[in-house]
Amino acid sequence: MFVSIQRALDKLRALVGSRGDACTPDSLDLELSNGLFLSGSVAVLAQGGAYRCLDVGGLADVLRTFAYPQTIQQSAFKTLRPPYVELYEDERRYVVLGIYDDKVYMSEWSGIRLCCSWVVDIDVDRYRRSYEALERFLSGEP
Amino acid sequence: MSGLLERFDVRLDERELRILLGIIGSEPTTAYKVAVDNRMHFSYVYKKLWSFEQEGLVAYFCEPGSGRKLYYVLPKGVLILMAYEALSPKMAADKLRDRWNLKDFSDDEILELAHIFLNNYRPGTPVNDSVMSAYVLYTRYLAGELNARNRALLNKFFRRAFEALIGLIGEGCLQKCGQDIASRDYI
Repeated sequence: MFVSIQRALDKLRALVGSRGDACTPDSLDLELSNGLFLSGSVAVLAQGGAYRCLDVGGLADVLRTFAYPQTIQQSAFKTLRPPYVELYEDERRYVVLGIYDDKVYMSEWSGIRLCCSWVVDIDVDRYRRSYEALERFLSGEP
Repeated sequence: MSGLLERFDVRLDERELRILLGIIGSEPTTAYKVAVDNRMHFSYVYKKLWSFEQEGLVAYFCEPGSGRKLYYVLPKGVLILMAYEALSPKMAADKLRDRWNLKDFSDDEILELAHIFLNNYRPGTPVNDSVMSAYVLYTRYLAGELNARNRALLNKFFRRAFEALIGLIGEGCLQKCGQDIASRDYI
């Protein structure tokens, strides 16, 4: 029970690149990664001065769930329960969301060492629903 | 400008500049606030902040109590923003004076010092640490490699650095040698 935001964004980028229509977006609400935006429920890809748009429906809200996790309180180490949503990962560090005691936690790891752990302001039911939607998106046809 | 940035070996795109300027404008600040202010996804902002940390442009401390990571721009980040001409001289002087702990230096002195750093920067120069930087500049002066005209300013800077260094040994030591450090000309 694990999804990676980066993998979801990579898949979304490929999807908008291949299936999106040429467009002129009204506004760009949220930058997901380099040149990939959300405008309402539309994913927008900027490519060499032009834009391609694809309406992604509820996936836009799902991605917004994880867009601004605000840390509320620092916490001692907790063994987080799934589902896990990985916000960032490279060879040295990763940041993952998980559940403990009906709250959503964010943990930052450096290799095998836990750096920090916080309670974040994401509602746990919304978190579970968003996780399931992301999992469906990632396991579906490209 | 491109020559300076080449020596720093740091290239920032428009978004990265926006993030760095966002931090310096509201520091110390959280990744959450940077994400909200710039309307960027947290995972994207986190990736950028991590790369800034790696390059020595920003650092963070954990806020007591909440444990929130609060980011601030290091001197190297300020110098990079100056090289991009993205920062007002007043803000650059205020930030560098604070980070280098040179409270009795005027804006003009700080900015001139910044230009000495920019003009003499080599990869690996520890610009985030004023004492170590002074040592590096001093050895380069002794080797006849320092490109700087303002001897009075450099003398003042080297004195501050030596005072800080001697202060590490102990207050008594600083009191014994303080007069000598203050009266000596280093160049």
